[in-house]
Amino acid sequence: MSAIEVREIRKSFLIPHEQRTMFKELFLHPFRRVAYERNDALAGVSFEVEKGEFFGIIGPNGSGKSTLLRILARIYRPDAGEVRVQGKLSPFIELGVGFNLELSARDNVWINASLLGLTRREIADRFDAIMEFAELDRFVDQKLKNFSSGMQVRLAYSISIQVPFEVLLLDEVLAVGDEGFQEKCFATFDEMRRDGKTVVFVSHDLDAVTRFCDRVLLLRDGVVEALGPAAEVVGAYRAEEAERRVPEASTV
Amino acid sequence: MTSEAATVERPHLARLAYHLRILRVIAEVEFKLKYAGSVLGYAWSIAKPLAYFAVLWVVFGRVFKTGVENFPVYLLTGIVLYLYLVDATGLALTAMANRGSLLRRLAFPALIIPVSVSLTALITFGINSLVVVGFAFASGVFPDLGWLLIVPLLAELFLFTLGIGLVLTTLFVRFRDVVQLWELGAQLLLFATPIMYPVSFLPSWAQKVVFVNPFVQVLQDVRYVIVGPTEISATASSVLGGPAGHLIPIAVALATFVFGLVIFQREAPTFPERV
Repeated sequence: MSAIEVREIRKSFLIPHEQRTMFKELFLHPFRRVAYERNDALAGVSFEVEKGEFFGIIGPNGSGKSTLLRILARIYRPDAGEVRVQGKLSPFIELGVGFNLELSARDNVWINASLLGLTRREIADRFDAIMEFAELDRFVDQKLKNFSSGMQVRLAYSISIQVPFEVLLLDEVLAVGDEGFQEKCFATFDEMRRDGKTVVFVSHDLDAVTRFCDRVLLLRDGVVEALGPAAEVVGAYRAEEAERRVPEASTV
Repeated sequence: MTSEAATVERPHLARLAYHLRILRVIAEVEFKLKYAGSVLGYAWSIAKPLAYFAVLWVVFGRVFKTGVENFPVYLLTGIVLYLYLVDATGLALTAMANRGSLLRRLAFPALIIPVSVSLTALITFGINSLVVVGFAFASGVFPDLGWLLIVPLLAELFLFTLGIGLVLTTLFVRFRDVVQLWELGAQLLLFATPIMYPVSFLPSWAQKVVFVNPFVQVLQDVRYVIVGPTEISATASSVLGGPAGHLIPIAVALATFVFGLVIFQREAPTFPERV
């Protein structure tokens, strides 16, 4: 049974050439047409993700990965096409939603965990486990602005794994964080796999993608360029990128 | 575990409970950030109406020579209600534009954001109201059952300010100079409504005009309830011709709320990509 079904998703953004951001301009030139540039972020994307599958999405910057993930998460509305998700979808796609640098780690755990769906009681019950996993027990009442970016990601990840879900969407979670913590994250990935969770995972970390994903979708210019077993698709993508880089390098 | 069980049994209720938790978090964070790290902390929220009061009382208290008993309570009530209106609409104005990152990373109804910040303004208003009550006690004005009428009046004002806030925040996503318009409007309102002067100070046609504004109707009704009938306690009924006239500003308030809700919800699906 598939956990996620995506059919012919299309999404384009209109980017105004000259942004009319003032009322003043509306009054001064009420009939001037604003020229728009159309950016087709997704031009007909279809795929299915099986229940319990680890599914990777890779592709160069601007290929539509994040837009696709936001549509799966129901944050953006597609212009056309259909998305069906079976099972409890985690409500977030990035770590540390709602984090505020001016507030303490304690406050931020409460903010973030509440936004992710936990009740006050659930947060209280899990608070120690969160701080312990993040290895930040000593900094509970420190303001978040005094944390390094690695520490912030550790805290964010530790909260996110406390949230119950069946389908998880993740956008670039491994970008920061030291190696030790990354291994810890990988251990939780293994656990999710064992528990039969469905995970859709956007990343530039191709090694991690190959290691964890069953299948990988390669997105380029808003269309599916390849879809198949992780090692195969990642290998093809690497070869392609290397080829692109060589002529560039020779012209420099 | 209980929440998961609830999700299975009553998905709609669980969803509503989740949205209410988001509402609470955004409102509390907004309130915390406003006063966290400032020396005076929450005292700031009280300092503002008192500063307005001190100046207006010294200057206008003499000019208008109302000679009315309890004029200080009357004046302070007006200031606190006015500051609530300005605070609530001002917070709502930038609410959507300021929370682009939240909107792009979490799937939840956008409407929660302006409602949350309106509640933040209501918390500040609650603290300020304690000053009014203290002042009333000191002047020998004590609560009676009639004060219960303040609750529906505040509910009306809340819906009215939320309606304005929804319009402003929707416009602000497109037009950044809405701030200037709002500042001007807020400033003019301070002088164009009977906050520091009695209603009778206005010519009779102007009295009719200002009472179409729900803020003025609520203001005068609350004052009437607290201070009681005096020569400056004109209400919508007395100015707009009987109880039916009282319904005019109430209808305006509800219409403003519905209008704000409709245009906000029409634009809501595109907020995550536009803010």
